[in-house]
Amino acid sequence: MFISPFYAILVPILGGGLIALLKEEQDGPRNALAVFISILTFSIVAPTLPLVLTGEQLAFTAVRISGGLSIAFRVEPLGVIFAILASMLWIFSVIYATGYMSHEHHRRRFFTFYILALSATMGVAFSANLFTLYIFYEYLALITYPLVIHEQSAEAYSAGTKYIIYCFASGALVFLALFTLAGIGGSLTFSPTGVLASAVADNRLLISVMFFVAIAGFGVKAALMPLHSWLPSAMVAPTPVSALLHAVAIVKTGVFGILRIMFYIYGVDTLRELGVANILAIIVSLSIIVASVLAIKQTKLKSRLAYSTIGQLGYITLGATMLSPYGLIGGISHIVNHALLKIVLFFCAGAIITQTGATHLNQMAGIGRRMPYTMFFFSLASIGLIGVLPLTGYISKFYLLSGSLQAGKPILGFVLLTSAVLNSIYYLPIIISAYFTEGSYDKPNGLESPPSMFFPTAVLTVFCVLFGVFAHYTTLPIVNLVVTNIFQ
Amino acid sequence: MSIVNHFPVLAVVVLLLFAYLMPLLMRWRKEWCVPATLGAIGFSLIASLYMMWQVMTTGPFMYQMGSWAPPWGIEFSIDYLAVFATMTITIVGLIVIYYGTQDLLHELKEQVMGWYYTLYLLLMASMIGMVLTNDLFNMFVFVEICAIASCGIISIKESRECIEAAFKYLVLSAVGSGCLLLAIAMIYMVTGHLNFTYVAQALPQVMDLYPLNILVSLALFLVGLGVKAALFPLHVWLPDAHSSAPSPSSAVLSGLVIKVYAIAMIKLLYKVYPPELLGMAPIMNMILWMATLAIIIGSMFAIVQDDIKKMLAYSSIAQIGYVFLGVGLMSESALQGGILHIFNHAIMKSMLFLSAGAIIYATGTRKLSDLKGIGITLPVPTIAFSLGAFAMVGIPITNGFISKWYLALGSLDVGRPFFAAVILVSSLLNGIYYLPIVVNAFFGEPEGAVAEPRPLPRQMVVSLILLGSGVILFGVFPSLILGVVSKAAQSLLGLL
Repeated sequence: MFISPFYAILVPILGGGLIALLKEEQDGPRNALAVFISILTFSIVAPTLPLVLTGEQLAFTAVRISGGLSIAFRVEPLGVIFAILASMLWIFSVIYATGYMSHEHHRRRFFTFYILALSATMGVAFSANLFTLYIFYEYLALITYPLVIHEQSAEAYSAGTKYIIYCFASGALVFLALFTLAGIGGSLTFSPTGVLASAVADNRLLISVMFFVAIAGFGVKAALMPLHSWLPSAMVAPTPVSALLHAVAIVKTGVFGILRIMFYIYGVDTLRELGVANILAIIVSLSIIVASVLAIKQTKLKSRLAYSTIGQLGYITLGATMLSPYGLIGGISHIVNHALLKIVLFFCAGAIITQTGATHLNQMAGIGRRMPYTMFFFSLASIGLIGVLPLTGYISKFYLLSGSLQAGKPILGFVLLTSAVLNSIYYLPIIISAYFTEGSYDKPNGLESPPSMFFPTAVLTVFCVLFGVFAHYTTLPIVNLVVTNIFQ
Repeated sequence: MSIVNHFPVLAVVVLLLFAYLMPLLMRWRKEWCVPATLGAIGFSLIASLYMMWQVMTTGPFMYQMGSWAPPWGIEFSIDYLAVFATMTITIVGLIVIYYGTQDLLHELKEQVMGWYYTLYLLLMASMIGMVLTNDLFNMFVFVEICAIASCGIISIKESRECIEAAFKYLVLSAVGSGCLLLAIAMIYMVTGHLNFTYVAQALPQVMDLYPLNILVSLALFLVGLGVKAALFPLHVWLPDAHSSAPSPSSAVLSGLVIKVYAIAMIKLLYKVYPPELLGMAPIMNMILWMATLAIIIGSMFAIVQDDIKKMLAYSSIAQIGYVFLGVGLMSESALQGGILHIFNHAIMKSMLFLSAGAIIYATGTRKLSDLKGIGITLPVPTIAFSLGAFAMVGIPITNGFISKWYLALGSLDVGRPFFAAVILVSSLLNGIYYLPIVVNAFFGEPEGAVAEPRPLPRQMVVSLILLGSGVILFGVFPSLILGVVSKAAQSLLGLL
């Protein structure tokens, strides 16, 4: 029997173990092994896409713990989107990291945990019930802690402490919601129509409160304001960590958890009946605007990207709170689009940091001369995030706007437009000063950054364009499938 | 008449016999001490597993001492709770003393080793006796043996702190014993019986005549057993006693001894006192609030400790709170959670104490702040410690999670989500004091004695690995133990 989610989780665990066995100096074998494991994981995950598109779903229960608790996996559309996205970006990030980390210390520890984190992310993606999701969610926090404190400076340790406290508080909230909902509703198994519908009548208040507890729990990782403050501090980690974990894996795990809670535990009908989504929409709108304003004030490149992440993650949740099919299509496709665009931005930032040492925005004047291609990729990705055609970001924004009209809440569309304006206020000056200001930078000799960093960035930029132009052949079919299941 | 029919009494008597043989063996055949001790406890383990099998297949039964029928003779009641407890005691007790055979050599003088085994076997015998007995006075006898043996295995180290701590324990425990004796006298006065079953039958009839006597006896039991189980605010002796003792003693005291009194309390509350009495006084609520305070304040005290064993001792105060929380909530799931936590905590806390002991053995330091980088130089004890820490925090797939899960479900069942919140808060507090140690241990640079530790003997490593695999095994497959636990909870609540 072919149980792909099981192997997708197992392979990185074993791989991480193998990497830990190699010596610190054995860079060649370690890098090759890390790339191989991420490619292997992707090739295990990829076949699930055609499978779910035909409407088939694989289910697999690993352990029945007791009562209603079990560790179970299921291959279904939303999980597949997340799994394929994460495992694909993992390949590029690992290649990028082999270049970025070549002069860093503790490379063995770094790659061990970097690959282990892939396993936890696959676990989150393929969880069939809230309990399994919670387990992998907690493990992801534990596994990524060593990556956050990698520098082992005082700043890194304090960021790490903040990170782990936020993560455990978030885990505790999720756990509170977990056992309360298990006590009320009985089942924790995800279903596209929700599982709480029958229990609402008796426990209306408790179920409403638990909604916010669960959202606050996952909202910590999704960097929902005001629970976001770990994310900018965690930028002290090496850039491959910031790129992959803080733009894709960890924060998207939070958003993924929010979607699971909203649509697979509560269900659209229950949410409409409780009316909790509107309150969440207000919080998320504020989060988007405030994060964008704060991003303008940042003087460090990575901090600006971090605040931009907070805003962009808000789009996804906002799309979900509209409770309209278009809004949800926009939200889910933004998981993919934001991941692609933001990882390019972080890769560019990492290349700039390693090649020129510039970390602050004012050091980047005229850097377009030294790193023309990198800044070109950066410019494309940032205008993609603003929502300009034909890059991939416009797809999600278009659907989000349509969704807000479809749901009869045009005010949310207004929030999105304001945020787009703010996005351009904090991205365009970077591009302008990079190209049109005199700086102390010279033309590069040969390739502007090591090939292991340059080519992943380039390929992903091409993806950003392709996913934008051919959205109807890439992201949208499966996203549509998810949304049709939910809104039946 | 085969020997297996007498396993209930033999589980106790064999231990007592070997306890008295030990000093003799020490003079005559020194090298026989260790195998004899292990053999005696191993026998009790086999006896308890056999009793467990009997109870699970044919149901609970009574064993009459010397075939004297009650109310004249003493009875042992072999029910679900009792076999669960004897199994816990013998398994953990065996692993701890196997570890101790090496660790004690460096903590104790050679000539007292034999006495240590005597005291340890007496302690094991008294604990098994206490959970099996169905007789109030017999229980008191075992309580006394247990208290004296516990003091013995603390003060045997002959350091100033140990003697002081043992003396403090002795005084407070004597107060507790006094309360117990008085309570038993009051029960005897109004019912004329000492056998649990007979007392339970007589109490509803005399309750209206002598309500005060009965209530006072209950209060005295609560105080007496509360002192011995270190239930907040009667816990003051515990931190000194458990932290200064030799590590195997700490492990068995924190892991098992305080739980045995909790089991005695469970038996009294659920099997002896009539349910109507619990309506007369808010006894269950008092237990709940004491447990809540224990959980919160115990954890808070633990946060500020710099001595590794003292921190673990304060953490025990919090953990015994969980057991009493399960007792007080009066719901099936919560009671299951409480009883299960007796077993789970026995495994994880003895593992934590033993790994702390191994670290002290290998490096000579017990200050938490000196343990930077110990995970690199001493992987086995540090990984065991980390596993224990994760179990304390209640991270899933460790056994600590399962007991918390049942406690939380139980508190929701009876409509008191406040106590579920208490469990969560305490998990976070546990995280605050355990996780930095783990982080420090793996991400610091080792210095001084920590950089070049003494190699650990095989016995210590094996014990830690056994306990560590227990933490994972019962976290992933809790059904191995849940069967007997849920039967015990159901029979206590009269649902069976």
